[in-house]
Amino acid sequence: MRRTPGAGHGLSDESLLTAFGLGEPRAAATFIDRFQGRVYGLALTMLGDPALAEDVAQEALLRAWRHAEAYDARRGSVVTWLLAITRNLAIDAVRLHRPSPTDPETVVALVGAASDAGPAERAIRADERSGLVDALSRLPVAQRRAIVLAVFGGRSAQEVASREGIPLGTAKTRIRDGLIRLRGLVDSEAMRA
Amino acid sequence: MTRLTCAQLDALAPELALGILPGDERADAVAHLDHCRECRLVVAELTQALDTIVAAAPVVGPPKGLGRRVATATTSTRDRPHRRPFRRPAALAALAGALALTAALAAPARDHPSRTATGMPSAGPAAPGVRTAALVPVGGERITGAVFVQPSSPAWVFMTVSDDDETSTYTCELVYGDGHTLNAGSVAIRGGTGSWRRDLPRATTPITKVNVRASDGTLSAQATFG
Repeated sequence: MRRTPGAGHGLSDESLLTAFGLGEPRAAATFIDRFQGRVYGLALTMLGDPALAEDVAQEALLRAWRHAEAYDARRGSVVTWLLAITRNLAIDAVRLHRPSPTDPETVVALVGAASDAGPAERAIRADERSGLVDALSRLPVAQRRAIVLAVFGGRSAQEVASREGIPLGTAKTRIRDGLIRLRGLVDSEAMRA
Repeated sequence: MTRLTCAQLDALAPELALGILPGDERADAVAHLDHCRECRLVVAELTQALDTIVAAAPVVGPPKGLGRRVATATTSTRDRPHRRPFRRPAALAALAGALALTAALAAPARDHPSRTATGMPSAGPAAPGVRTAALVPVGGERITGAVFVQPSSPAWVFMTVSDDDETSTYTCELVYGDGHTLNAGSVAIRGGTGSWRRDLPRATTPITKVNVRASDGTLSAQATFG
């Protein structure tokens, strides 16, 4: 039984999601309180636009409500499921508003900006602010660029190859190696925190 | 459809895990995974890597109003999605637990704090004074939903939409009591659903209707506030 620390009544994430899906008002408030920061944070990281990120976060939470009964705990946690919804919506928004891939270093800067939490945003958990930023900074540049385009930009390997001026096979390798390496770096950052 | 070898699937596995594989390749890959446990494990590991990375994104408090709009929409009866019966034993158990929790949560509410213990703006109960109206399809269209209007400052309008058309875009038009209209932007439908919100300027008359128009200007749905 997973329970995300923070606001709430001590309910498990799974039970809370079920009650949220049933439209129970206090469960709705608790579910939103518990997860809106993570959902909005990911959307802002990927989009860099607070208004667009807000729209994506809003739709992600609504989809969680609409499809609560589709959640399967055997496939992962509620947070994982919710962030996957958020990421897919953010990718759609990226493609809609930025048909051409953004420079990867710009996206890395967006991650940093979201972490640093400017005046319009509030970083809630300071110990989590720099984990992803630090991990990204420790990737080899070529892998970082490929990973950022693929993971946060939703770009295919072919689009990464075109953007970076590299063969398709090289793009695929950078994405695969970067994915595995970044996961290791994120895990080690989490253990250090 | 092309039958893939394990080596071919391995080359596609990262993109498949990231959800960035083009449609035809994805279909071929999924067909292979249906019959190959080893390749499923490879994709699962990469998916877990993605999940770990995504979960490390910063936690950032959203602008005020997001939580209340979502809470309002999800606790209104006007746009309740059709629920399939829970079939999986684990889901049934969770449902039973949730119903028990729902009864427990129905105890009288205390004053809802404006912020949670983590400092996040609280969703709170649905905002009082919010006016709601069902979005009714017009002329054979299949778009439905609900519209919510908070007239008091900070005033906003918020809409949730469902459409048989998986991908479409509609424009939203606000009609005020004095007859003037305001083109208020567009709502994008993806995967059959969408939502839209807009902060409202000060107005001397209330919103009486919200019109949803297709790209050619045809009225597709309308919400009327009594």
